[in-house]
Amino acid sequence: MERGLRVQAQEPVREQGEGEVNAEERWEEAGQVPVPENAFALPAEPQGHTRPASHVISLSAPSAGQVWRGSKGAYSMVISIASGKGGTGKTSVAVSLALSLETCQFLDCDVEEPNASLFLRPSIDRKISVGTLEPWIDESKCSHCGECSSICAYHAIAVFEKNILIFPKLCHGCGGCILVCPEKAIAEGKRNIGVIEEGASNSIAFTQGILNIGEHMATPVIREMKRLIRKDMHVIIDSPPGTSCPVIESIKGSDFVLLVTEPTPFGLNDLK
Amino acid sequence: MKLCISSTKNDLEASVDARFGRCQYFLFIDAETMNFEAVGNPAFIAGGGAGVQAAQLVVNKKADVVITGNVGPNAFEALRAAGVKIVTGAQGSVKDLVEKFKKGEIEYAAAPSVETHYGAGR
Repeated sequence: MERGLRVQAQEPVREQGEGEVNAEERWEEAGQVPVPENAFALPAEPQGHTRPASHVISLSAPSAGQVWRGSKGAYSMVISIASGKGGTGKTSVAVSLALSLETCQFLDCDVEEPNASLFLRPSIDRKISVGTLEPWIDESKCSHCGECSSICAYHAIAVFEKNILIFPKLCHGCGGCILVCPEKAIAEGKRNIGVIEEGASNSIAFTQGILNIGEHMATPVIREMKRLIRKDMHVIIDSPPGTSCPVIESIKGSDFVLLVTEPTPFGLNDLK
Repeated sequence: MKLCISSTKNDLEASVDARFGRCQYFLFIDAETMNFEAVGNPAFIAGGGAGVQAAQLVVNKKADVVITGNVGPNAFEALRAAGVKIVTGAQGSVKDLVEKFKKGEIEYAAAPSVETHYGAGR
């Protein structure tokens, strides 16, 4: 933890064009240099995110040497960082791990409060909007039979004699209402629930999901993010806390899951 | 005139349930004859969508007026769309409330009285 913060404190120096430093050199440096008084303050905003081209990896075509090569040849791992309790240091550990690799892809899957970007300060060059299915009703075709309302497990549709109401915030986007409607009055609409941002922070390919405020379905955003996982480098996933659906969606398909905890009864209880 | 009163028990002596979407029972009462039907609320323990589910039930039972403690925004919108009048802030026994209604000592609500999930106990 402390180490990670020291590295952060060193970051502005590195960004001002010290050139490529490998992970070990950076750690040694951090150990020798006494912690400055403002070690726990955030590094200064880099000016305009301009970096030497060699520091920015291309998202479409990685050049040779960016693939991690082990003794058995090139392969990559997906490592998820999770925790039962919030605030244990998932993001600090994930960011430190990512910085210790020569190159990797970093996915901030904590879409309700993504904050790894505070440490990594990536430049964002692509935004993808994420939508979920939402029923759209053609009221002229609707016979108010109530089939859609009775199949909806989340009571997102209310059908009365003369009108029909949709509650988008309750809808989970299963599409059942569209299938059962005998009048074909329901169309497959789409509703925006969040955005995925892609970019780079030095040699780290950065991806984060941001769920719109007020939305409660994080999993579709995380699912879309995980479709962007790259095969040519290690992948570090910063998961949301807890054990709920968004966590499962985040860590699904990982080679390793690293659980972070803290030395308190709460930390231990939630780790178990 | 058919009244729907959210109730803690399935008889007229019971006190009104302060929650609409997550009340224990709905009592559908004919204001003239005092004949009533008690219906257990299927949305009593619902995580979400209780108000909409309850409103659908009330409308299907063809109630004209809902008398309850609090109504959330989803239930309010659904009931209003179906033309059901809503009375919030009700207290006391179901029987007394029917009497009050008959004497005209009630006011219809113009807006939901609470936020969503108010009655979900968290």
